[in-house]
Amino acid sequence: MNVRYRPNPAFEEEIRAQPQHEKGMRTITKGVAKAVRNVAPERTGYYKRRVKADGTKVRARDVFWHLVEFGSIRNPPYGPLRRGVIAAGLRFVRRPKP
Amino acid sequence: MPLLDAEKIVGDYLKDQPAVEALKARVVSKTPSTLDLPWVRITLLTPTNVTGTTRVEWLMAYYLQFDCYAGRDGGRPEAFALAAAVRSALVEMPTVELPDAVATDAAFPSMPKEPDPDIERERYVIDGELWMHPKP
Repeated sequence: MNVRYRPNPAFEEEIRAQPQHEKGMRTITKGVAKAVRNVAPERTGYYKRRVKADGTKVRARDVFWHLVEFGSIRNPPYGPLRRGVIAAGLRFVRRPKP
Repeated sequence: MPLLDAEKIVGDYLKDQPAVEALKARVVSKTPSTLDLPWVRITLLTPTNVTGTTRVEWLMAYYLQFDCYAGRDGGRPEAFALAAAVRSALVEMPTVELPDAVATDAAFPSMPKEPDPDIERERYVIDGELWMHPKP
């Protein structure tokens, strides 16, 4: 019996449109948010409390998140968002906002 | 001891680079006490094992942040020149012999311009990934 394979060019798009995919991504996102909180510095705990999973995004709603992430002359760069993604077992790829 | 002191290895390497020396830039692991001349601050964000399970912790991806600061009067052009010098040096790293390590590859996920929010000072932030293993 011969089987012919025809790749579906819309495969990834169709998978992404599935509700199961969205559900899976939300679970992964919660894991990433937890990993970010785990690696974040803790002085007052404010930054950690402001890191939340929001659908399929992780948001750091501390207005000084950039100081924590990239540091400054007076602060070392802790990089919790970048390190959190890696700590969650994912690969960090930085892309600019579209 | 497979886990390398990446900050020291890369710092020592950058200190010897003519392009970095030409800018009179200092290579440091924390902010220097004087801010007149440009400087590069190296911070290890995380090392990740990339060897697999056969020889764990041998080949590692060292994820580093390089803060390339301009000196007092250099402004953005000096910060950019320093960032470009650092990137060029890191790209060449796998081709040179290092004292304690072998660098196999370098990549730069990003290099945003992030002026320092604490003082008015131009800065480029290089996200750098260096793959290194100890000398066999």
